Amino acid sequence: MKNFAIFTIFFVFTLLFFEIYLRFTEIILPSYVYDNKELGRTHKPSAQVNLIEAEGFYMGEINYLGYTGPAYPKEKNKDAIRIALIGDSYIEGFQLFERHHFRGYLESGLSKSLNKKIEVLNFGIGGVDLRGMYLIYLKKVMDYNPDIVLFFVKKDDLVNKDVLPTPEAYLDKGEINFNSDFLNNQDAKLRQKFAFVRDYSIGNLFKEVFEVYHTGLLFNKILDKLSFNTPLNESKKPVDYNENKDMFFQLNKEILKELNSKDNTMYHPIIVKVNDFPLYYEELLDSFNIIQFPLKQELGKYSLQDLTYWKASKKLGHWNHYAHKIVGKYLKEEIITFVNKISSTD
Amino acid sequence: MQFNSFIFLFFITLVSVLYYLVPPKLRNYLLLLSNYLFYFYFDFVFAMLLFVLTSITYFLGNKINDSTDHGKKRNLVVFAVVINILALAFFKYFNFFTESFISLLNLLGFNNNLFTLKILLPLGISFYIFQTLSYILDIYYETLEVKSNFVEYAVFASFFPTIVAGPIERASRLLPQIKSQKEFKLNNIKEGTYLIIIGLFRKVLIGDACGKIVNHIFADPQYYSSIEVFTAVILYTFQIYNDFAGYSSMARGVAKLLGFDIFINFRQPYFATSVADFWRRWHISLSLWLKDYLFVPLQMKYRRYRMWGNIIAMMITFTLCGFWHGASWTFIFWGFLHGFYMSFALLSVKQKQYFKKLMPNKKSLTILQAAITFFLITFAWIFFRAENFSNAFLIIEKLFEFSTGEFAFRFIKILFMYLSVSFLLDYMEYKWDTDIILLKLKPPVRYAISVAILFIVFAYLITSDKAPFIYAQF
Repeated sequence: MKNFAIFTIFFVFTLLFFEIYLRFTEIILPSYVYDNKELGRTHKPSAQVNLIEAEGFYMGEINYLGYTGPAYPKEKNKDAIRIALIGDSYIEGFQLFERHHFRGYLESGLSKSLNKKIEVLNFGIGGVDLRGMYLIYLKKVMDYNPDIVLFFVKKDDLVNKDVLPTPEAYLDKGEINFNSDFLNNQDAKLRQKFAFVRDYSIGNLFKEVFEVYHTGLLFNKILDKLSFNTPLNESKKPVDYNENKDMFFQLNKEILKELNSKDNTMYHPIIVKVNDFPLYYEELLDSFNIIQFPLKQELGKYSLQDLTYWKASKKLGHWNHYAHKIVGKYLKEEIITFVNKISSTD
Repeated sequence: MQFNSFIFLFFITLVSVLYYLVPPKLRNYLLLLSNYLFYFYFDFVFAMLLFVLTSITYFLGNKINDSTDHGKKRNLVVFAVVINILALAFFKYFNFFTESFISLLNLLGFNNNLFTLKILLPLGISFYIFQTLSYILDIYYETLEVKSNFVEYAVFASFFPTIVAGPIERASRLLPQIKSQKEFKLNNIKEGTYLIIIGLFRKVLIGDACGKIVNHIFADPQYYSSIEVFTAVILYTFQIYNDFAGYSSMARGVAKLLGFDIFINFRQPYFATSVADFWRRWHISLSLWLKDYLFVPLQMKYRRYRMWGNIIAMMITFTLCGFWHGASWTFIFWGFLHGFYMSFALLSVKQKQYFKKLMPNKKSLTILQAAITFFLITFAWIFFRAENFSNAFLIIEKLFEFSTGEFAFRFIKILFMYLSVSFLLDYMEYKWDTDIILLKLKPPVRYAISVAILFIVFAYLITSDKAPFIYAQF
């Protein structure tokens, strides 16, 4: 009995030591995301982030307002031009330090060129699709009174990405609505119940173990080459562009229509096309007269290797340091042209 | 199969159980089978190379042993050494020599389209060739007392606990153990298990974790501030130590489970008070090998030059030591730098004595010496880790930029934690004079700590990609 008590006490103490060790060394930090009832998975305000993935290395924090980069309060400075960025992991940019993110190049470049205070707010979050972007725009971005909102859209974002737990978009009498059923399924309930676990490094580590188990990859990890299951790198579900194609098209059409109607002197939604869209989407965008920045054309001047090669892992992945520079420079030029056009119209 | 994988833990459990279950006379056969299964898991073709080299060396070893003619003996030794070195040179250095030759021709203005081959490096070749060379040389110098049969020798040459990255065992130490009848001892299982746990902790939670930061900063130092690059340089110093010490501890543990006692490869190297002292504590099996088979013969050869003879022998030994680590000019320079440090120490003995007199406090003197040694070793590691000279110089240039960056505090905090834990482990090893530090704790305490370590290590292994051992790439 005495031995069991000693064992328990020292086991708990050692785990406590590991909690401190993992946090101090930042091997794994408490989770920086949580399930928000309105937004689905979203960034946790003031959370520290350290992501050292195969691709890149990100160290930073979510600001106290719940997005990345400098925290600009909701009330906007009258003289400033405020730009909001909305997009997926490419825009979130958790592969490089904030100082190398195109947000910074854009902000400083525009400030210099326009001789005005420019505030660029990054609302990017990994895994989000066009419906998710629209939701972030409605529930979060609008509160910050941006002058320009850049939606970074890829072909994948037009279909069902199905990555994050997020409110589902549906059409009701031609209007877009979101339901919060995602919190009612069994997985979500379990996640909510044990959400506190992710506020600890050890808890977050074991949450990841659970995810590996949940996705059926635990045996691959354990059995290595002897596993008969799908290899880890092939287990990711490929995007099915035809799955509920019509439904998503109708939803996206309504979203674009809504954005188009918002294009007035208060807000300027702009679609930044990261890659080629299917033709029927191109036609749709053109029919709405919505402003588009063809980033794809600029990126097309460079090889994939130039833009997505990561030296540390010798692999292709998200945009690298060089690509962020290119994107920042490109957007700066486009926005200067756009702002000048607006000013001359005014 | 890597030591830090679940499949290896299953493998070693199975082998250990079977080893004590089979009749003693069959144990070496089982061990040989296990060695080759272990190697097959990495690469089938190179297992053949291992077998061929083993057979040739054994045959030549017997011939040397049986020969009474000194001249014939010498010729056979030279032949055996040349064959092994040629194998090493072909598989490890062919790319290096052809690429260096092409670069030289380009530098001289000759455009060429020389034929090049991309040769893969067989796992552990540097280690098992040095091990087989020790067998040949021990027979020649008549320091090997036992005579072994082919199976015993093949077990020695392919011994799976040491084949990936050492320790480089001597035939005179390992062969008698292979020949002896081993009984099951609970103490061996205990010691082996604790060594594996400590090794896993060092490798996975210090070495691999440090390595993640190091890899990114060394790949693109231009994007990082001086503090960040400084952190990466120091973290690499601890990554390579804990990675290799972790591996060596696991190798000792695995061997212990099977009743073998192999070299302790590290003795708190960063507590060293001079570079010479560092080499008495770092990769001890390699240091001793180089001393016995290279430095001492060279020293004898150049003894007529007195101190300068020592310096020549030292510079050759360390430069070759660098070359042994990797087929690249940065490794050669790393070895040369160590040779230079040691030679400089030899040349400045008088000055050193003078400075010692200026600092009467022995403790502060020791701390100062350890700090200087640590600085010199760390500086040399930059060349060891960098992909090429321009990368190394960029890192050094970055260090002297004296920029802090917005995350200086976080980087210092990370560095502090890794250093504290690594030093604490070393301090306990030093204080208790053992590398099986968990055994010094009371049973319920060590069980609790061991279970907690395994709990975290396994979780980490499941959630991250397993990193290869650094020395396994040499």
